[in-house]
Amino acid sequence: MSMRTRPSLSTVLALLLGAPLLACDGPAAEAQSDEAARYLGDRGFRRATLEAALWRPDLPYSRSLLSGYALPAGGWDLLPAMTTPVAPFRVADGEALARGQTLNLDDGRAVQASVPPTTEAGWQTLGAQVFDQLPMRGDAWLDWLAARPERWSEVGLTAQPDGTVRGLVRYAASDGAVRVAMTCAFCHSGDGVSGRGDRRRDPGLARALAFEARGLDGTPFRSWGPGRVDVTDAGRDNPTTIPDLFGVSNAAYLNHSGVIRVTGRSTLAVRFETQYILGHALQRRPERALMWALAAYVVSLRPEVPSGDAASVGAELFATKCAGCHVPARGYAGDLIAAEVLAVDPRVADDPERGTGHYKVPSLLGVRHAAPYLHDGSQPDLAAFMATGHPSGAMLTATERTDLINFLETL
Amino acid sequence: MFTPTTTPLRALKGFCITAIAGLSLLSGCVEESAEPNTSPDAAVEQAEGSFEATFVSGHLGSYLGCPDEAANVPASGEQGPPAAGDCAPDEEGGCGGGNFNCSAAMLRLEIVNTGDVALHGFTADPLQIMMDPPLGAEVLAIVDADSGEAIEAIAPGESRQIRVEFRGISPNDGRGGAFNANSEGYPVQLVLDADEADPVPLTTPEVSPLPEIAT
Repeated sequence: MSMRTRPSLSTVLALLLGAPLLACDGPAAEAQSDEAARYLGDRGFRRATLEAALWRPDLPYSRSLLSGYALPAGGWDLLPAMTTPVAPFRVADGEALARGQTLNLDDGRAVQASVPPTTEAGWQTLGAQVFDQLPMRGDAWLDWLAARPERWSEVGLTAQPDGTVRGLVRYAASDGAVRVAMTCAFCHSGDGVSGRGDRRRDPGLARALAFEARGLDGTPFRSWGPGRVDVTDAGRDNPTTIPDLFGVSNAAYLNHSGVIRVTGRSTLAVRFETQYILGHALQRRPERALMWALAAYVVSLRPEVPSGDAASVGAELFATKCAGCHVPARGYAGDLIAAEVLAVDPRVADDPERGTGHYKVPSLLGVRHAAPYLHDGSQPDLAAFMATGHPSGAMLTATERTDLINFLETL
Repeated sequence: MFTPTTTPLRALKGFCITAIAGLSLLSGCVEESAEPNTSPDAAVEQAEGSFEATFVSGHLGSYLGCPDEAANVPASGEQGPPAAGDCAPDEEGGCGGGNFNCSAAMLRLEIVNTGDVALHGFTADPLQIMMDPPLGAEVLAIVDADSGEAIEAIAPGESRQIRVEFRGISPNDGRGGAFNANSEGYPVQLVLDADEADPVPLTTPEVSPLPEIAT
């Protein structure tokens, strides 16, 4: 018989948030509830989570987070929470900006956990709001682009049928001015599917256009290409594809170079929290309940699964040839592979800011929609990739590759 | 692991005030403490103002859009970078400054007035970016961290977050060379001072250039 030796941390969280936490059953739910409570209420736990995630603490990227997050005293915990009202950004807003008018937030409201969710579904619903509405960051180039609707199609920005532009919101910046910010959905809602990396959106070109309009050099951004972003500020040009967020629940690592090791949902919450803090120039932090909600939402994301035959021949091939690295039980993702083992461009793995010398074995969920492939988007389609770009694929016969691709397209 | 530290310092100013109270000497200190109708006892009381400073956050700025305005390049004589968070509309109606393309370095600090008198006239001098060798950086402004307004006073017992804005590091040294191409971070050392209190030296944890892409 097992006995609890301490009160459930769900109780602690309920006290912290003034409401019962999870009205769900089972050990998995209780474990999740406890982890939520520790993330929300225990600074030491958050610190330990960050330290466990950043397995290369020597890298500048890691040091920049370790020097401010969840310190024993002071640090980013003392930042005021973001409480800005937000509202969708509409085509009409862009047209108003183009006419020289300013934005307003008359229809804005804050994204907040005023009533803490009590179920996993409730967290996910709140997380979906965060994904679409919480400002991740504003930017000068975004302001420039927002005011020029005639350039939107050039950079893959499209309006939805209701006249809003998904991934953009109006918000009150730290100086009180109403501006435009991007949300998670700006990069991760390709083809309107939440979680799919947007392969058409071209933030590099948008930045280049804005820079060049001001007489600055836009060249470094023009090389990115659609669906790619250089996430490092190191002095080298190494854009990577905007990733899908499918299979994150099973992921062992985040980032193409695997610089973040995932130990649980709290890793994601910490990761998101630090992203927002940096995105707001280290002047604000997001409410942690929203970050837990966002983590709950992201791990719930799944690609649409096509109906039809599971392609048994390809499935057998996968089990014998591929599953050692792309582990089915882990969302067809895996650990890290040393860059020198792969015949690929090593610049991202060797990046001085966040390169680990490795590449992450990515999830294959939704892989049929994930072209172009590889971290740098250098492989245009699965057939080409399997024939020449993947070390194991190159050892298969043409027929085997076809069978395998048929299987992959069912994931 | 680095822990931010604050250490009260009975440094030059405290020494001067004490010396004046006792000896009415040291001409170099007279201007600072020679207020009308201030008795030696009052001067001693004035020095009893005190505060604590705690590191909250900081960055070394973003100079992508204004590489010549960083501390590691020769002064151009032009106007400095916009304050952190500023974004002045440019002639095209866009954002000429911007949060990330051209933003002054900043430290956000929490000040607690632990004394009995209101504190005025905060300064942060000298301020050094602790590279090898250390790089002295010009302080541009000290403002209320949330409102961006000048700090009138911090009352006894009050806690307030302030923002010290300064010239940070450009990855480009302004002469075509990479200066800090790996976005390395460094601690910043400064000596905070107020009219009524002894100086407080502060060494921050490592702070980094403001990332262009927060991901």
